[in-house]
Amino acid sequence: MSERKHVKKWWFSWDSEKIERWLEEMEADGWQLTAVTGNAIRFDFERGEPRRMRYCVDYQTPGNRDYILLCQDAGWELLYDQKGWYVWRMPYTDARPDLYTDLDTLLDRNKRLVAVLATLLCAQVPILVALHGSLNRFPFVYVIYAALFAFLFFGISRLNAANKRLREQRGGLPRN
Amino acid sequence: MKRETLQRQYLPMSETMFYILLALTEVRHGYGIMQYVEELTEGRIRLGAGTLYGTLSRMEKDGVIAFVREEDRRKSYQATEDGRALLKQEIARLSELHRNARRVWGDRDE
Repeated sequence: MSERKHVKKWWFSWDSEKIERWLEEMEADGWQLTAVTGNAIRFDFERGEPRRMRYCVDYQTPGNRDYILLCQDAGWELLYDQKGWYVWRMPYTDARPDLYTDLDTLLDRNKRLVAVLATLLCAQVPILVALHGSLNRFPFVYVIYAALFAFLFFGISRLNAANKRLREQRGGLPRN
Repeated sequence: MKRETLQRQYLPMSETMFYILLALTEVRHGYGIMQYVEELTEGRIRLGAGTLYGTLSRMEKDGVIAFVREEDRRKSYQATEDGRALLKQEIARLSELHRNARRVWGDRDE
């Protein structure tokens, strides 16, 4: 019987690169990924040959048929597709393939994530307002909300910083 | 979108934009564009699928390219008149670049 292992690994939407690198290292060590489940934090591996495998995590509209087909045509294998999150992989020999090969579209991807986080952040405001009266009796809820706000702010600022770095790499003025 | 707005947003063109638009002077689907550009640049440019999808969506929204037909579930596109106008301007700019490079740099080999 082949050796298997299940790993639960938390990651945040603004550092999907970390999970990509981790999966690639697992593959290089001979742990082949067989499934991604549970909101993309449960990873199942099976012992096998070490592989040079490129993993890419992307965010698009959920169940985007045209996008999925185009990536599959280009040789990517889809491992996970839930709530707009996609996990792709492709074996390679020389050049490590990428889903994004130019700066403009990578900036757009990060902007899409900022929009998601900003929406989540704004959605909390009416909830807080509506609950305001009853929340006075449970002040600890405010602490939880403060932590949530800080967390989302942190994510947004991380993504904005990443975009700023990308623009500086390009050197020139922003396109728009 | 107005021509001036398009010009401001698209010119000068990134290499990705230029080659995608150039490929779409003929009707092509996404993967067809990828193959064509790779062939045309002798393997130098391999467009990422995410980049291609994002650029096509944006160009379609801006009316620079238009959906033509769906075959085998794959959508084909072609440059619109606005798209061709942009391409023409970009080619004129590139020609000037090339002309001036020749004039100043000549054919010295360093």
